[in-house]
Amino acid sequence: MGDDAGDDRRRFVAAVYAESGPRLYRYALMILADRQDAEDVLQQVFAAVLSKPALPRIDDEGAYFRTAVRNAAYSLLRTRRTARDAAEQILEPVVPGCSPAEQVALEQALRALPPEQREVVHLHVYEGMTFQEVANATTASINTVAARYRYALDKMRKLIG
Amino acid sequence: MQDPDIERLLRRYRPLPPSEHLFGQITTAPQHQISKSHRTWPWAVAAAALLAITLGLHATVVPPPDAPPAVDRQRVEAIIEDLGRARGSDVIAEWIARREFSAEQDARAARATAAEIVRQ
Repeated sequence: MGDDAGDDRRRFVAAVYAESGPRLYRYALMILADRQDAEDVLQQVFAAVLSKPALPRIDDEGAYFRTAVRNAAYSLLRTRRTARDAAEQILEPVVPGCSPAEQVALEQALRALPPEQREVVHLHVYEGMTFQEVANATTASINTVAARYRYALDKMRKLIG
Repeated sequence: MQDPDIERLLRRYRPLPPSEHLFGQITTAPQHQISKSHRTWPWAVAAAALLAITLGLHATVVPPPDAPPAVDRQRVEAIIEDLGRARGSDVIAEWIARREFSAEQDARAARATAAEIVRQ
């Protein structure tokens, strides 16, 4: 792909990735709970942009790519036939004094949640969205989002003790 | 443990960042190489293993067909002679010899059974 349009698309993809790649990856990782699947989803989303004959017209890049990642992640979940490696690490500590046992317990509790609940936990806790913003991003009602968050915390509390 | 405790615990961690090579894969690889990783599909491996196990079990459960009885070459030659050594007569002669051998075995078994009945 050496044409101008192709170069434009590559520059666009590089800029979007530099701006939002890690955030989009973490979002996919929390839905899928699998690092390789999360990478696959990001590659799929960006490859779709690169394969378009012209750059898509995007008003809100953040929302556009978040929705694309979400759709690709849930599409992958629908076709996934095997359980993922429960021992694979999906979190990293951000404060000193975290113990490996604590991290393992937290990761196991997160893995035990349905993807939709993990997604709400991620968007609310790690991306700082309000329930209304989560509802807008996931096309669910605010009541559904609040219920998912409640169920998620209840289950995590039971599992972690 | 209350909700704020769980939220505090969650905030002590965050999801892992992407690997460093992902950016390069996305931005520099040719488009046709981007869409799929090279990971072997676990379900395909599982399906292949299941097929191998099924075939293996089938091979152990289903007995092989009975080995054909040893053919009496002299008898075969005699029949071929009787058939005038025509084309294909060797095949027909072998078939007839096997049938005769088989019939003889059945007759021998029947005679043994009859003798057993008479003795009782």
